[in-house]
Amino acid sequence: MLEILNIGKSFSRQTALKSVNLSIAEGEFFSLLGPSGCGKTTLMRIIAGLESATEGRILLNGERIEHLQAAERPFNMVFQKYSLFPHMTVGQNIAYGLNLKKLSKDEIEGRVAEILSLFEMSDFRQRMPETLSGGQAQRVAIARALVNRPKVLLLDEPLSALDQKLREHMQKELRTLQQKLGLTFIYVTHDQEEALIMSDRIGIMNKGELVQVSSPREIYENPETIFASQFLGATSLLQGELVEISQDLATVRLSDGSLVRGKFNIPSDQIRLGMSLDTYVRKAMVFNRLESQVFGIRDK
Amino acid sequence: MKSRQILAVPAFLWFGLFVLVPLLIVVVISFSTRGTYGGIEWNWTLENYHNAFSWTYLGILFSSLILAVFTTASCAVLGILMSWAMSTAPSKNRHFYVSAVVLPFLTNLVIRIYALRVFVGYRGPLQATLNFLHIPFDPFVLSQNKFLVLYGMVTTYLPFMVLPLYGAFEKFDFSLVEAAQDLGAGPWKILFSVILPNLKKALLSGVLLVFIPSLGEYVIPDLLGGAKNMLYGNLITEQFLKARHWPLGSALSVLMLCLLLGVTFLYYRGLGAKNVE
Amino acid sequence: MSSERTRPKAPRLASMMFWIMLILLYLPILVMLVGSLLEDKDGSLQWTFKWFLEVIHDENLMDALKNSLFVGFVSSLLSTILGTASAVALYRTTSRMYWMMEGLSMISLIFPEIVFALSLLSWFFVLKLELGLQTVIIAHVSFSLSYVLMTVNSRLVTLDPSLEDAARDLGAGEWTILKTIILPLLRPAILGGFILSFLLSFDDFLITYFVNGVGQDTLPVKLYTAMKMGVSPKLNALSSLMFLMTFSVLIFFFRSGSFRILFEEGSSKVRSDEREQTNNLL
Repeated sequence: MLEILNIGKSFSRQTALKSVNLSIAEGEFFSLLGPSGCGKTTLMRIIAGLESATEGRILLNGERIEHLQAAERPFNMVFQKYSLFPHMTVGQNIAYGLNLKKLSKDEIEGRVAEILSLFEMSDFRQRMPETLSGGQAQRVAIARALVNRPKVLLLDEPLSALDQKLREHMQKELRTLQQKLGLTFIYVTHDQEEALIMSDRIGIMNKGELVQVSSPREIYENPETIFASQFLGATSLLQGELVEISQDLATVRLSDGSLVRGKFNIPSDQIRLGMSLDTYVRKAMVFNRLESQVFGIRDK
Repeated sequence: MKSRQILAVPAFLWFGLFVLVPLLIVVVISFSTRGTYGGIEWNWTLENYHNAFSWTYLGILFSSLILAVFTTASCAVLGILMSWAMSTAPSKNRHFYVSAVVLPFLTNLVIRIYALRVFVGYRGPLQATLNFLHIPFDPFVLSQNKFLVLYGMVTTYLPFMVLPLYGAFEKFDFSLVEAAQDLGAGPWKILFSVILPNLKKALLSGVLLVFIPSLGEYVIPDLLGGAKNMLYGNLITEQFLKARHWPLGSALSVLMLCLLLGVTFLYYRGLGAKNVE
Repeated sequence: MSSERTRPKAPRLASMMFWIMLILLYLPILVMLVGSLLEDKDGSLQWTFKWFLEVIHDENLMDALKNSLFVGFVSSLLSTILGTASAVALYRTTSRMYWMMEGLSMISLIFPEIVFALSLLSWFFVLKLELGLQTVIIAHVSFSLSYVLMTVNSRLVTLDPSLEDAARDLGAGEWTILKTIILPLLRPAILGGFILSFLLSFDDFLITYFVNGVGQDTLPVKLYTAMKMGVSPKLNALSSLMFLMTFSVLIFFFRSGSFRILFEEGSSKVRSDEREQTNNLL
């Protein structure tokens, strides 16, 4: 449904995005995951139309939209710090986009009431944003975007300002909402756990490049690069010698003589016993399957 | 370019038309000739500059410079001490202190000078006190003298020094002071070796903010200095409003501006050189 | 902000200096205020409102007051409109225009007042503009414009840039954003700029002295001419009235915090740091 072709962006000297290619399906929950400064927010802002790319195309259902202004794109965005207009009530905030579309009073009224009840916020309609808690403000921000019935909802680290407990709750709520509405979500986060739990697919970004796009399980179990594995929580880097291969498991003898076994991701035609390997060990974070996991990646 | 940048055009025009162009006009007039009845005749001449460089006028410029330097130095010393005290006061009082220093500055200068004259004037509290203590004084000297001018200048321009310094103090990392204390430094040693180096930028901008306006000050010396203490601002004003010799007044102003620009330029160059060190 | 916890006190001399200067700043004013309420009757002093009544019933002074209020209102209205428009137009642009505007407003802020005054006088003469309240208004706009720019700017830089993005994302164009988001949020600063330029205009002496027409004095000019003659209880009363007018407006606005942004450089600094951070994040 949404196709991003060769999108690149460079500022005067540095490159923020290097020809990113991505295709997102209708109704998909897609996460862009990466450390700060990796270009994920820039990519999202380019999709939203808030920034222009220096090269590449964006297609929505086959039509080019990269020349359209943010206002003309059927996307809406939820911002990191909510960005509720501080001088307007919750109701006015939500109606802002509808008013600009010059919808009839009744229509606006109906839609605002509907979305407020969907978020169980009907009692908050006359409140000012500064009186809301973080979670409430977040719901209003999402409601303000959704009330415009966008084809894609863009979320820029929407939960990063919330505390752990509320964040976990909102993660579930968001996922449920997305499935209920069958809407396409593009979700930017630097929190790997959040991405793994919520997404249908994840794109990992590093230094302006999209390094891997796969399902959460795939990305977790088979990170394709050192960067991806490190970003997904691998902590210890150990050097060792490959002593045995059976099916998809490799056994590595470390310098102190101990043996570690785990998955590996080196093409089978390049592999030979006795080769020296970089081995990463990590504790399992999700899926509760393995206590620890070993996989070797030969340095490129 | 965003379309709303158009909104800046009126302000640009205004600044251009009523700040920049008038300055250029002054330069142009400084090369013209005085008309018989005080107007301007557009005959080009260097005579005004020749006159402006006469010893009498240079002498007045010199005493203005001295006054400006004294004003600036006093403001700097007082400003450092005051902003130091203000920034280390309990945080709930600080806003009040800043307001207290700034408020008089936003009230009418003439009124403040007037109040000062009441204070030192005939039957004012100062003369009454001196009488009471049987200290002899000359009432005319007491109510119009150089020291009074300096005092008026310092109290008027002090906020220009205190504000930037206070701002810098607010951002200053006071744990450095603690560290220095821990190493055994006394308060004045700390001021010179720890605090001032970190306040350099603010102090330097404060110095300029005080020095530039005080060189051309007119109202304060006019009302507190008396006729004997002629300063450059009064000289220029006299050319414009009394002698009606605008070309000479313009030349004097251009001279003063050049001096100020030169000082600012040298100042920043010296600054740049120091920063390289 | 540096840590609130640890700020070793300044030496006693510094705080003494602070209080001495405060006293020196306020004592003469206090003496003037008291003097305006005293009458000398056969050598003994008595409280009286006589001088204030004399001021109020002086038609000359009341005309000057009218002039002052008129000039103050018109000039601050103009400079508020011009300054706000320009601040809004140029913020978050790094164009050459922004720096030119900074330079111009710096020039008008820092130039010796006397040069400002005489250059305007010369310009009016060259333009053959008749001196009068209109030239005073032009002059006042010229110097208060940069104060409005400063006040509005210092509020603008504290606005969250993502508010604009949010509005744009919801379908607003540049002008709609200006009307529905930026201007409403700037209202306190715009009001602050207006009041500030009104006060500057109301209190200005030197520039008015140069460019006003015959017989159209403002209050400060009247006061100046009168005090050339010497000190009198009636002048005390006039000065006290003017001082109290300005002072009460100031106190009100200081309490409401409208001017605070002007004097707390820190706020704008913090924002620019934050902006750098967000830029790094991109």
